Parts: sequence; C-alpha cells; structure tokens
Amino acid sequence: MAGKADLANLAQHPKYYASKLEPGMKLPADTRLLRDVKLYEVPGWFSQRNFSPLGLWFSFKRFRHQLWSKYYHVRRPGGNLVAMLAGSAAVLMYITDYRDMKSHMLRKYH
Amino acid sequence: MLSRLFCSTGRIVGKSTKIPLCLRVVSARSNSTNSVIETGTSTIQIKDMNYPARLDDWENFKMPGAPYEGMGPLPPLPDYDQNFTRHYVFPETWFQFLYPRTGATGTYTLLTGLAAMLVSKEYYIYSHDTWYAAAFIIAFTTLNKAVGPFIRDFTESLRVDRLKAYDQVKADEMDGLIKTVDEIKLEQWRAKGQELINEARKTNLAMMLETEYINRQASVVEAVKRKLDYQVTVQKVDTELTQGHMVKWIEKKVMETITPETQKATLNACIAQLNTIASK
Repeated sequence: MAGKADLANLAQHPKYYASKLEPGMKLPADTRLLRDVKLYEVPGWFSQRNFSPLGLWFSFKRFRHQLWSKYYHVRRPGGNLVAMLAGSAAVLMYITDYRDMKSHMLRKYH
Repeated sequence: MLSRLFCSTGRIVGKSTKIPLCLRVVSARSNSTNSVIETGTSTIQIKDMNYPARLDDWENFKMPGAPYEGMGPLPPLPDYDQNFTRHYVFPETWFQFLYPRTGATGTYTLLTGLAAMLVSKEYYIYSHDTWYAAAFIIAFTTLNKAVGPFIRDFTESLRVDRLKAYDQVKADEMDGLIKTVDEIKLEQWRAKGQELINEARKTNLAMMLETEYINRQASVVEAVKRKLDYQVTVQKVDTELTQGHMVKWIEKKVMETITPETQKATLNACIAQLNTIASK
C-alpha cells in the first residue's frame, strides 16, 4: 500500500523526520500526513486510527498539547483561549438545542 | 537481597562462544531484560534489546537544534509573540490557509457568507438570546479592554513563579548531571591509571618468568653436568683401579724377578754405558 511505513520512506510525518530509527522499532502502519491522503482513502485512513481508550486519550492529549502550545504557553497569554473555548461551547450548545428552538423560527419556508 | 539472589540463580546465560562467560554472567545479572554484548575494537558494550534507542555514545552527542561554534549570529528574539488570533477568537491559521487563494479578505468573506447562509436558512434563529449574546460580547469586550491588562499584571507573579520553579528544577537537574559527568570522567581517568599498574605488573611478571626460566635452565645444566661428572668420575675410578692394579701387579712381578745377581749385573752394565758416554 502506498505510504506504508518502513524505514526507507519514513520522512512522511514530522514526528519521525529527525529521529534515529532502530531496526525492530514498532511504527504505525500509515505515517502519512492527512493532507497527503487522497479523499477516497480518508475513510480507510480514519478506520485505521487508534480508537481504543488509550488511543482516544492520546488523541485528546495531542489536541490539547497543540492548543496549549499556541495559546497558553506563550510569553504573554491573554483571554484568547478562554474566549475560543467559550465560543466553541456556545456553538455546540446551540447545535444541541436547535431541535428545541425550531418553534422560534420567524419564517416557515426558506 | 536473598530474593534477588534467588531470582538471579537459574537464569539461562546465552551460549555464545565469542563472548566470554564472565561477561555473559555479569550482563545477565545486571540486566533483567535481554542483552546483547557487542565487542568493539577496544570497548565492550552491553545493549538492551528492549530499549534499543539508549544513547551509549553520550560524550559525542549533539542536540539537533543546538547552536554550534561557526554558526554566526543568532536571530533576534522579538519583543512580543506574534498574534495567533484575530479579533480575539478567530485563529490566525484560518486566514493564512486561505491567503494564497483568496487574499487577505478571504476568510472574512467566507465567515460573512457563512453567517448570511445560516441566518437566511434559519439555521441560526433570531431570538431574544441574540440580544443577550450581543450584550454579553460587548460587555466582556469592554471589560477586557479596560481591566484586562491590570488583572493580567496582578496575576502575572503567580504564573511567573511557577515557570521559574520549572526552570529551577531543570537547572538543578543540569547541575547534578554535570557533576555526574565530571565524576564519570574522573573515574575514567582513574581507570587509565589502572592500565599503567597493569602494565607494570605485566613487565614484573615477564621479568619473574624470565628469571625463573634462567634459573631452571641453570639447574638443568647443573643436574646434567652432575650426572655426567659422576659418570666421568666413575670411569676415572674404574680406569684408576684397573691401571693401578695392573701397575702394582706388574711391579710386583717385576720386583719378584729382580734378584741380587741381576741387580748387580744391571748396575755394572749401566756403569759401563756411562763410561762409554763420558768418554765421548
């Protein structure tokens, strides 16, 4: 399969760019970046991801690490992170409660 | 201690003829995981197969991004971090993502169009909550602009103290590690002294061996000489005995034949000879 991880073409994910790779190391099967995965391969790629509890925890950890590195662990942090989280929470709450708000619509046909 | 002994006995030490048994036993005792001994030209390294990325050559290790000697001037550190959000809530990456295709106003257009679509299709429903949200946003924006920096400076010390503590932990760890490195280097230097001691011991041993060899050679020579001298003396004694006996026997016989008449006759003959010689 194109993009299968082996030691020869392992410069496919930044995580392994500059690492020293020993023979016998266990690597994920597909180390391509998501931007390099073709659209028709995305469902397959998605099914290959690690959805075990530990895998989910790791994905959450990665997301949080990215977020904090950009918006929290800076020299002068402000309220940007809180505002973004509040906005995301508001949007999610709106989506959750949209069904119950349908009676408040102003027009019947759009 | 006893449990450790109990656990370490009965361990199968790998059968490898190249690596000596003493080293295999040491590695089996010290490492609880599989280990492979690599004998280089002058060093012996025990490699743990469960942690293959362990750094053995730690003295010549260079951090990947560390500055080196001939690199030139480092880039200047900016006074402030670059802004990662625009209008306080929209990440800058969204704007950078569309900039190549749509320019500077691409994301704004997209968001405006999206908002228009949502309102038009009434996925966003205009209600009293809209006014609540607007009032909320305006109030908090005003508060943030007015009082935000003051609150940040007020609570800055807490954050900075924690960061300083983190840095202190790292600095202390570094100091400890530097001390450890110095100790290791000292032990290596001491081990080099051991090399000299070993050389001296080897030369001493060689000298002792040579002296012992020479001594044994000398003793061998002496023993052989003794044996040969014995044989020689035995032969001499034999010849002495036989010759002496023979001589004595002959003398005895000769003396038996000598009578007073013959004595007188020989004496007269000798005197006559002497007279002839004297007359010449």
